[in-house]
Amino acid sequence: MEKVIETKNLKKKFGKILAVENVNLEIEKGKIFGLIGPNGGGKTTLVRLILGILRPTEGEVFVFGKKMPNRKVLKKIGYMPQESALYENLTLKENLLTFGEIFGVKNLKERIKEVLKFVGLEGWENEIVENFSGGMKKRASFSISLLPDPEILILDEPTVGIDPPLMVSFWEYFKELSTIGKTILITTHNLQEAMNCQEIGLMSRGKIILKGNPFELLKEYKATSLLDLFLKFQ
Amino acid sequence: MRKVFAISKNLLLKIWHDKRTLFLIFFVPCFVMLVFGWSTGDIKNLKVFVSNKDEGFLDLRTEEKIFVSKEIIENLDKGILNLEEEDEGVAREKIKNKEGFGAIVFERDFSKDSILKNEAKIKLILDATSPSISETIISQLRKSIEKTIKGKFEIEKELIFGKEEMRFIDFFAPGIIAMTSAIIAFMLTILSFVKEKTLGIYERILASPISPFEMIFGYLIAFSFLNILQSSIMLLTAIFVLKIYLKGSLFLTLFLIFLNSLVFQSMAFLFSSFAKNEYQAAQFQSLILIPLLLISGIFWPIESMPSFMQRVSKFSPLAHSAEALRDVAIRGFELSQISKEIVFLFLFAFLFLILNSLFIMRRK
Repeated sequence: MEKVIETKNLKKKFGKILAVENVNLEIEKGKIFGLIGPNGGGKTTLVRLILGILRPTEGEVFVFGKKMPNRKVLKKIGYMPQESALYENLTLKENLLTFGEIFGVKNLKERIKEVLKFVGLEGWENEIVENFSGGMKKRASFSISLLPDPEILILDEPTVGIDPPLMVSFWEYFKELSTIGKTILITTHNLQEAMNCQEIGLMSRGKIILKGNPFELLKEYKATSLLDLFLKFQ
Repeated sequence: MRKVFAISKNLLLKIWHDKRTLFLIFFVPCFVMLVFGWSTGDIKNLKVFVSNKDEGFLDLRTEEKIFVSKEIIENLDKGILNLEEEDEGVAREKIKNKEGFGAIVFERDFSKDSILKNEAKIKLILDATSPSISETIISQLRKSIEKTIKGKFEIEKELIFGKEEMRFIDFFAPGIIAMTSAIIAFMLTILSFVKEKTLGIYERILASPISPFEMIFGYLIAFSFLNILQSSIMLLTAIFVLKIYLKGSLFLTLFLIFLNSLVFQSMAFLFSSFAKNEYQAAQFQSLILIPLLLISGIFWPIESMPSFMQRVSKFSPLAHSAEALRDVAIRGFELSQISKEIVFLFLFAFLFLILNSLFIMRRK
């Protein structure tokens, strides 16, 4: 399988704090890879290193074989940050137009209709984002990351603070995208939903302590749940 | 009461934990006051030409020639007026080129008239742009004449720039316009940029294919548009409501305001990369803008500042834009005559944009 994301001995220090320690990660095309673990475990830092928002203290990141940061590669990545990261006093459509133009999306108007339909926000495009509920903001944020029809989706805690029905539909979106060959890197501290991933990396204190298919991992270590597994290894 | 104190305590704690704000709280007032103190003083060293055509008066008893003009020149305060002998025509040209503020001209019969007819007439060629400077020259000249001769005298003024009865507002307006456009440009840019940083949108921007320069230029275009709009309103109000004196081109005045705002936007970009939140961004206003206002010849002439601060003010973009605006508005200069200031302002904006490329969107 084609490796889409690859990190080599990745290390990141903030002052004295070692946030990411010797991470070697390979993510294959079309996979849903879940980066799981507790808050403060280094998941967001790792994601930002992969995107090139942060510079590694040591080691390298390659996306599509190109060393990051690389602006051309960023065109193929849809990123959904942890905060909703929307222009609150603009309408949904104006938000989408801004990022669509920055990413150079072709047939932008059509594409906006498509993504809004996909996330179930049709009819809301002329509403000011500030008035949206938390769940709607999450969906709006997700729709922005989908705009450039990216090869890779990097979603940082996309399901935090949303209600269970929306969480279910979010996972349906992810699976649908994965079947058409999109690679998805998702971070979550919800161990239950992590079972939906094809591969997971258990991250704690900056290190990836376990990696593999969640079901196989459970079997191998005779654990009843990911929580059980996590506690065994921590 | 306990609830009230909880709020007060909370606010002070926030500042206590924000060490930079804490530092600025003590540093800024001290710094601003010192800059104020260091940049004020008395007007001195004004370049004034003297064209003495006086042929003197022959005193028949002593057979000596008496030069009343020389005594007047002798009695002038050389600390305030920096005198230089010059032919009247050359002096006039030099004043037109801003090489001097005035010229005192004594005609051939000056001594004769003042002794025989008991009435003296002195011509004073003046750059009347700044009322405080021209009033200083007039009062110094008057003082010296009164000390020298007892009789009547008349100072005949010839104004190169400005007009008779130049109001303070006429002199102030260009500087105030420069100041206002600088503050608007600086604050608008720094606050909106810092806000995006705190909202997390910046994060999305960093992960997008846009380059720092593309983003900065995007900002510049939008804010320059706003600034031109605001400047036009300001200028039109000044001209039509306050009836300020505008001799030069309206278009050139607007162009200068635009250029000034460009400089301050690029400056704001640089400082926004050092500000983590709106708190710190607002502090930059007092740290950067107020001192710049004080040393830029807006409220008092640069000539009244101590020589050290005069040299410092040469590096203030606001001093250059205010002077260029006065050149156009009051002196009626054209583009070619203010090219030096324009080049300086462009260089300044350019320098800041280069520095920005090092700091803005820098990946940590």
